[in-house]
Amino acid sequence: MPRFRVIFFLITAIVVFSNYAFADLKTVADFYTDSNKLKASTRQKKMLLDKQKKLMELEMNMISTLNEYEKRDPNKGGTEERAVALLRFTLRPAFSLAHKKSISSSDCDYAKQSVQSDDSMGRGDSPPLTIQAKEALEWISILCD
Amino acid sequence: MTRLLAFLFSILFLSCGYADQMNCINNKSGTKNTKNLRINDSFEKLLQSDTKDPLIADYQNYLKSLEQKKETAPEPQKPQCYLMSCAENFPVIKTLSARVEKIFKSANRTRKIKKECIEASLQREVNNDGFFCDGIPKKPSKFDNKIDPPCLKENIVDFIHYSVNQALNCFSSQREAIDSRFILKKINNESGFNFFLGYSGGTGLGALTSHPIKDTWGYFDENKNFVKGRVKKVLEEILESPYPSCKPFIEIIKKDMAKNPPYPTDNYCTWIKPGEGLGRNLIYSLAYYVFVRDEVIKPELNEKYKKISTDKEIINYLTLMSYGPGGTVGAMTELTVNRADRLGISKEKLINSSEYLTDTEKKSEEMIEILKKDNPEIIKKFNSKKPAGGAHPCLDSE
Repeated sequence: MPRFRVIFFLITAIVVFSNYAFADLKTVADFYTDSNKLKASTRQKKMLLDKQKKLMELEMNMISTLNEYEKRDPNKGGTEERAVALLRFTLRPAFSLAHKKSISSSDCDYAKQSVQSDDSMGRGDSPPLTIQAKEALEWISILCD
Repeated sequence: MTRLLAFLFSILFLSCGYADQMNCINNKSGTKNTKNLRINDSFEKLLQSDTKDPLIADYQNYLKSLEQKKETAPEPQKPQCYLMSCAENFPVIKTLSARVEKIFKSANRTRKIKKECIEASLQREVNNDGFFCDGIPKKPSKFDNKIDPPCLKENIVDFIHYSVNQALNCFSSQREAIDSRFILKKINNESGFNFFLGYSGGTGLGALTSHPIKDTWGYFDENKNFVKGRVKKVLEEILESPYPSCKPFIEIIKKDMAKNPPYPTDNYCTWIKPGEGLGRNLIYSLAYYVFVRDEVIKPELNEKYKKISTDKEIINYLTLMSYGPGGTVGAMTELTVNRADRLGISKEKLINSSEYLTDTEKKSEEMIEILKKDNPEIIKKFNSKKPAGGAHPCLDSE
């Protein structure tokens, strides 16, 4: 009986510890939720600078979360981190628009092409857009409209 | 008696057919059903004709120059007086000679892919649809490359070998030279040099799809405004190239600048027809490669991954990886999760992290195995030289 108690205690300790350890790190689903909220509030903004600030907020959050992931797993990241990194790099063309003083139509075209080309690679001719590419294109159109 | 004669004739007929198949470079083992000579025959006709196709015409001139070399008996060595040595006293000649020397020197910046390796790659099974573009009937006609692969004889393999190496030379003229090993790996993986393939997964030698072509030439957006492709600047640079190897490709680029080429799935032959189609496929494949390498991968590494930013091997593997799912995004994601900014990354680790690279390497090994079997002397010679990094049995050493 005491042995069962020890095992039960250990399992509980692992579950509690892992919940604690993982709780502070956002997942990719969290970032989609954040991004949707930011997009909704950005659409009401008229000034480019205000729109850019909202997107930069998302970028900063993603970078700091990825840094936290790296602190937790210094040698190699896992599946959840990979998904966050994939979203971050897919959004990269939109993030670079967020750092520009002014945005020309060719900047917008360049960003769109970059997202579409990368997204299509290795998936045949004109495949449907992935969820992360859709997210990036939405942000690009918010900044470019 | 009649039956016996019929039997003998049929044996004779079958053995002739077999002997003919033995001449198919893509079927050295005799295991493929390469009865169809249509691609080869139409290429032969084209080669004999007074064609306006820029790549075929260039190849015809090359063949003529080879013939002339053969016909001219070797002359005793005369002092070389057309380069820098004798030009010192004549400033105009000196300038011209320097330019010629520069061209010749830089022409050696990329190494040629050996024909034997193209032959080895052609032995591999590549099971997709292919198209005849010989105009009989006028529409391209489809065939299954698994069931009914065409016979490719030496003349057409010579042409592929010539065209690929001319393109590599040309696209190394205006930027850092292309490392031919990676283009060999890419073509071997994508099409196995079966330039006639066309399906939704990719078209021709480089397995091109619509997006990289849009990204290169440009496209008309929903408001009918023309949007210039990101990669078009590479084509514009080629237009300025002094390299003789660029001549046929410049003609094709000029043609495309005047009128946009259709997307592969709209017209496969524009991208696979022996001659201009094959040339166009090489242009867009190589332009995209150097663009990704120089304008995406290198700047990203310079900014965040200093430890590997000068490692040419890693740069090329990352460029190659960008043809797999996720493109450059996929490559950068792997660098992040592998902590390449702090720890760097080895070639082996990078290959293991990407399914696309693993698959490419596997097919490359398959090609080398075939080369070992068909041309053991190449591997023997290569191994005897104690190859340094960057060496490859499929590349000319000079």
